[in-house]
Amino acid sequence: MIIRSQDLKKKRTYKTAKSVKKKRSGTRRNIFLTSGVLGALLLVLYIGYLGWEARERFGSKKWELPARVYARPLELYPGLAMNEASLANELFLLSYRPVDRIAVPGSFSRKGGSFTLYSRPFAFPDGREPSKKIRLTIASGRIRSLSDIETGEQLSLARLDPALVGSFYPTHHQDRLWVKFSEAPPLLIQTIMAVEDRDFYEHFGIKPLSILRALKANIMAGKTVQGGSTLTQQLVKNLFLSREKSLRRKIEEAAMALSLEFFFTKDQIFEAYINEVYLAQDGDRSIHGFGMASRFYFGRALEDLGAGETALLVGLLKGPSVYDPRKKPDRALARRNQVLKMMTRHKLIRPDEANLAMKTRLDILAGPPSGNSPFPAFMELVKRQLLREYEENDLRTEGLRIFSTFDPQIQMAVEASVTTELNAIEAGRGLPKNSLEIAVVVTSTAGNEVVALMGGRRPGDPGFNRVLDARRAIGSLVKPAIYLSALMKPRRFTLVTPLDDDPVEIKIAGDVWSPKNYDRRHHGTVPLYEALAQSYNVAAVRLGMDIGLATVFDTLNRLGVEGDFPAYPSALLGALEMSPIEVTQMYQTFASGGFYSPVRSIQAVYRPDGELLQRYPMTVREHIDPGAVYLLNTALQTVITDGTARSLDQGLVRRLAPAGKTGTTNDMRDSWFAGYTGDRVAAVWIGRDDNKPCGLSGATGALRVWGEIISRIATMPLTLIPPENVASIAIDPVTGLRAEAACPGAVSVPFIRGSEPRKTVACRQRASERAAKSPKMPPQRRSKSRPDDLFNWFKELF
Amino acid sequence: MKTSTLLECLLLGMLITFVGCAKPPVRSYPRPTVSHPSSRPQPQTDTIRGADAEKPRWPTETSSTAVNRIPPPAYNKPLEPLKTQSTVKSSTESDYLLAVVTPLADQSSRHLANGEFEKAQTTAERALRIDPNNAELWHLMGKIQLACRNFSQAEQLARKSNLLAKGNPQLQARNWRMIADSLRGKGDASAAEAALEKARRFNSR
Repeated sequence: MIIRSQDLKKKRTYKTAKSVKKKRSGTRRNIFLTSGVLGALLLVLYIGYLGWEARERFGSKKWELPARVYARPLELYPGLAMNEASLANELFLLSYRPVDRIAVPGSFSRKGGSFTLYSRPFAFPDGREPSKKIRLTIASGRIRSLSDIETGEQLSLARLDPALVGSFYPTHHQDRLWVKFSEAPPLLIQTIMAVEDRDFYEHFGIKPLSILRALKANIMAGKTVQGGSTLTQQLVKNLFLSREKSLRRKIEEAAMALSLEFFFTKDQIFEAYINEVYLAQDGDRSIHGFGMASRFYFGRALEDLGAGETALLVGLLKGPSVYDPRKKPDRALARRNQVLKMMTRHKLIRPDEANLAMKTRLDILAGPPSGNSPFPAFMELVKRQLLREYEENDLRTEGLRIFSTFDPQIQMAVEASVTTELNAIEAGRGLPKNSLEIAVVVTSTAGNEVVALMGGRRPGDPGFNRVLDARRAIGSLVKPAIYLSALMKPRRFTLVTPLDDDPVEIKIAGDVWSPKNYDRRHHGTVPLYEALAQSYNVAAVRLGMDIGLATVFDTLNRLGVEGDFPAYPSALLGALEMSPIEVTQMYQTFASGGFYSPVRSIQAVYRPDGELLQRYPMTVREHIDPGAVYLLNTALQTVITDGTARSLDQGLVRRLAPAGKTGTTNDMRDSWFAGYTGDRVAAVWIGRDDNKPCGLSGATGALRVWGEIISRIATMPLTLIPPENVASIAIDPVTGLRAEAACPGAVSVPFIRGSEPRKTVACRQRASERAAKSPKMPPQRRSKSRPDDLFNWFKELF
Repeated sequence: MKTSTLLECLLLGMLITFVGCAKPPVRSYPRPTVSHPSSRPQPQTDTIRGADAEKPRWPTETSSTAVNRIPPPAYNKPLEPLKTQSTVKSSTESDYLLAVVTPLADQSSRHLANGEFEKAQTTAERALRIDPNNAELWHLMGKIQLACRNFSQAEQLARKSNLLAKGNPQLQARNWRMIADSLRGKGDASAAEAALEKARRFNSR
């Protein structure tokens, strides 16, 4: 710089010697040159600043990647209860394409109950599941055979890639699936270079000659017909600059491109380019990068794309909306074929390959996986559980992979059941259409994992989530907690302890409260199990007051329902409020035999690079004596066989021997049913958002939906296994005393060891007493009762 | 002259600006603040919006017809004899579930033997989701927790296994031994001895 100035000065001195006139003009030139140098200096500084900024911004660029929430993977094995339609549904959700012959991962063909699948590879937490060609047959609602087509081997288990339940997007709604440069298909890289920037690995960020050539072509044409941008320039433009077409922006672009090339490797720049580039729009979600575009257009992973698909995607770089293959298939086809020709010209593919690809259809996925989750209610639960430990912004931008407990098959069964039954209930009872609302949650008995959830009656409705947020009076659903509290005191209470159902008056702060039974009648002395099965209010209140409100509330807490409850006796009839998910928590503890597991919707969270961030393990904790819970569970089974839920009309559901409890609140404002089978707990609430009476009892509303759901899902029967401290003994049904084992009519009743009746009654004595009592027995009950059926016998007894 | 000056200035300026600034791109990840979830979600009012009500959700063949209903499970009845190829060798529910979960349990045990606790647990949970009432799997879960020195959870899992292990005194004995080990790990020697005594009683059956 200094040397140049001296040089200039010398020349000026030489000119000064010529003439005064020239001296004047020399002064002017001097000023001109000085300002030129200053301008150049400023320009240099500006360009330097741009380059510095580009380096800084690119180097510290935090790519915002949405978090993905996956469902549980579908495990296929011979014997699994599943019908053709549910498998087809899951494959639809997984964006598997129905084809005639499976050729690429993510496709399937079906002939009746015979399926062939080409599964996609997937990196699971416990290892990578490779892509497999599977043949399976379904008959009579079960998978009958499963084999690997390529090896011919029978498979005992095959796991499909999990369905995407939804994503948590960055606020700018850009959706991208990060593809590492090292994992990008070489054909894609070469095609992008062939079409967009063939000298990418030779130039230094800009190609002056190309710019000039483009400039000339544009001047000749009078408009922009050609661009001379390198990939680096395109990346800079996408990342840092506006879409404005001006010389200034061009200079900025060039400076920044040079900077990136100076400080970063070619591969780093290429990786950024293939992930940044905009390739599609789906509502307010914009699809960036080839990884996501491949899913969006073809429902396939990038590495599974053939030459035709690669050509289509690369062709889209010219204008994703102009060549949108869904909206403008003809243009897209022409563009694809043009790219295929370029690929042949650059010897990337053989001419016959190109010809074949040119003859094939675009083969675009008809219904692209929506950016909006079809299961927003479940997503809400996942989000809330995550927000306890993560910042919302991290959740939306860190590309977390969240493995959830969601089971799409069960969710679909729940959605279908809710729609069918609610419409039928409204039509059958003359209720206005869509006047009822509903909340349903289904979990696993083993670990209390939420497998399905509906926060309202409309599937996919992201609105008010009643499962989580609607706290309503639970009515008789509270009663099992009262009876369990009693059964936990085996010295005082057994299943056959007589309870008093006669009228009672309770004084509360000067007022007198006298609870009434649902049928407005009193039933005298009833055995404990029957008071629960028939949901007698008065007996329950008497029992609850006897053992104490505090004890009942403590039991509720032990069952997993947190918080304090209003210390009013009316709480014994369910005047306390809970959300359906809290109810599920309570009933899951029954279902798991007294072992508490917190409700979970997440199994594990992984970083995008596959590193485990956090696991949410299955945990159990014995909160209540399994013996007492066992007795309660047997009584809750009678709720369905002989009690308030006996209207459950699905014979096939009855064969599962489920247990559960109905709940109805004052003036029929809320209709509840919570129950469980061998592996599923489900709670259903029906009511109105304005809290007006809905005219449904637990049995006429929620129970119907519950039964419908259970009839539609593959579930195991409830087999209660008596714990060590429980013994069943022969009881004489007339006196409630021990019977001689061989005595005809004696029944087996479970007791906590040590609480069994001590006295034994002889057969003959029993027979005479029975004869004396028999006129009181309702004849219809006698005809219904089965030999050795404890509960029918006991009905006759009391 | 002017052009070359400008070009030199440009290169010099850029060099001065950039040299010494280079560093690789850095990404950061969130760290959880709590290691385990607490029991239930806290109510919050914000929701994730935007379900697309216009698009059909699934093929119509399945929506609400009886087609989608799972036929009555006949777990206590043998499966129908299979004419086609099948790996189902045995004919009851528990037998064919066993055929599925046994390889998974073996795999989990292998992970455990290699000290890969996370993988061992993930695989055991996978098996448990398929066969939730399998006492052996609950025992395996306990074994993994014991290996992780999570004594409290190991004890609970052994108790859970015991609840389902009726009629299998050998497994009950193993569970009581696990309970004894867990109690000893927690420093409760007398309770551990009592548990060991129970194990002996089951062993002698």
